[in-house]
Amino acid sequence: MRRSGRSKFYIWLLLPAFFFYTVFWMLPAVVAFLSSFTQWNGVSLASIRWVGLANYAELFNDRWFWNALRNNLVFVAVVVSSIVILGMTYALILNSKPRGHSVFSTIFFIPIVLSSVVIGLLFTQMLSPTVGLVGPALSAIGMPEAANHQWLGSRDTALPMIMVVYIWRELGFAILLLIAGLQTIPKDYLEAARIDGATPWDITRYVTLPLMRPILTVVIVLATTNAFLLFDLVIVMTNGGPFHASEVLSVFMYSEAFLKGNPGYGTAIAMLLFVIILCVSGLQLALSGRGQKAN
Amino acid sequence: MFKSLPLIVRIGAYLLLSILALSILLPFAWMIATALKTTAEISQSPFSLPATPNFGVFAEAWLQGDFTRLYLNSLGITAIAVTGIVACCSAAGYALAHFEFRAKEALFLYFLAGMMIPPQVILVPSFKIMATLGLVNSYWSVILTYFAWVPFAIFFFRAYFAGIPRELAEAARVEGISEWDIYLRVMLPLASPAMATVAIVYFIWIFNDFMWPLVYLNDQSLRTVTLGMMAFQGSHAALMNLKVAALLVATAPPLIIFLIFRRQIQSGLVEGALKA
Repeated sequence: MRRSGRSKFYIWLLLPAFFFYTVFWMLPAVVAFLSSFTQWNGVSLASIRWVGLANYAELFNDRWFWNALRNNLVFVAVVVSSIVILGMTYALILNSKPRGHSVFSTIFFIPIVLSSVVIGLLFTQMLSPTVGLVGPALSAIGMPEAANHQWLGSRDTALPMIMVVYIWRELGFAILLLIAGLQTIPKDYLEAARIDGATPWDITRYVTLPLMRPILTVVIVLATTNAFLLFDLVIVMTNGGPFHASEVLSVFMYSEAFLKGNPGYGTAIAMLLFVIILCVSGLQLALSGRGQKAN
Repeated sequence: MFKSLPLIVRIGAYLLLSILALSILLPFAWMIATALKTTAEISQSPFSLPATPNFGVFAEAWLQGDFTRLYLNSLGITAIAVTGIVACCSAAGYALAHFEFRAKEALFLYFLAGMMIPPQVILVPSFKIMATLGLVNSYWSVILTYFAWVPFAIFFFRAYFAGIPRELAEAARVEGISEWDIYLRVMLPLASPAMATVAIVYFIWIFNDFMWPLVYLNDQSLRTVTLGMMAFQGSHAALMNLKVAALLVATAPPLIIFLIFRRQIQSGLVEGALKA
């Protein structure tokens, strides 16, 4: 409380950030909440009608909502477990400093700086049946039927292909975070375990992994949140198709609000997405809290 | 440490490393080879190297894709947005770390709350607000939205300024230096590492962003690199070699920047993710 009376200077420092944040982030969030209880054509403000929970009721009866939610959950389960398991494996390998590790890590981190749009378009070209990379490669190894497969145009392969591309893009970042975590483990611990005759496997299992728990939680929560918010890759690669097969919540929300002209319904979907994100973050707090008590 | 592992484990480790490295490098090799071929070559011999490499394809893709405009739009929007974020949030972070006032904790929590609200949640109402302000289809629609994306930057700057002793500013005040001069000439120079980190992280986010330009910028002349790329790849008129050349034109600059500033980008992203 030293200077509070004398100087109101801090107000000038806080004002610009406060203004932009309030007007262009928090205000829309409040409007999103309110408009999820309304129905309107999205054009004139006079057409707004208060409909209570009707949007939410409709949502629960909308098979395409359940479809998008299921796709989203499957996507999250597959990509998060793959990213965590592969990420931990590669982080452990790179952290043991094999020859050439810095070249490998530079290569692994390349996808981090590329936009998911460009990555999605690149893979779309590579997966195109006759002229891409995948089709001709399959026909070269004697699988001509598979060579003409429409990877992004078939109901059963569209979403799995997006998963592969997503993992391709995100894995490097997970590896980067996990290596940073591994490097915070005090060398003495590892040295002590080694002198006690522990094998590298024992050290990993009983020293490294338990100490990595906080950072693993961060990586899992980040990956889960990002995977729930999947949007760019789907829009670019399949636009949610074929026939909703790769539609996830964000894409469903976008198409309802902007393409089908149901902004009220779109915000109801957005609010559900918000609740999911909130639960995931809540889980992180609960997990890290328990971890601290246990230690 | 690696050398102490059994041979079979070491071989397995190198196998895994090589598979991932190949899976990342192969698309780039394919892009280069495909871009330099003729369309006939692409369908006839997909794996061969180009017989007579056509390096003119990049210039043609640059012109057809209108990349001068795309890059100017993306760089312009990103530069203004990042400058605004760094300016506003360094100030707010400094205020939250070095000044005492009522509701300080509440204000900080208010700023952090935005981390729980992803862009998807506010997409529809933000569009309506911008439309009401008449800003849809102008650079300002995206720039103002990026200006509002403050939580991470404020969090980061507050933590950084908290590590700078308050006595420094106190001493300057005793000398009679004005608050503005303390902020601009003492504090900001000290925070330049934090400013670099925030700028790098936001630059990557904003330059690669797709959702906001997609809903706000319908006008062809306003397109960013991400939007323009999607339009170009979707056009039936463009030939395969041109499309792939355009992909290379869009990936090369970020890639070169990454290779030059690898350390800063990596540590920026790691600090960003782990602190928040």
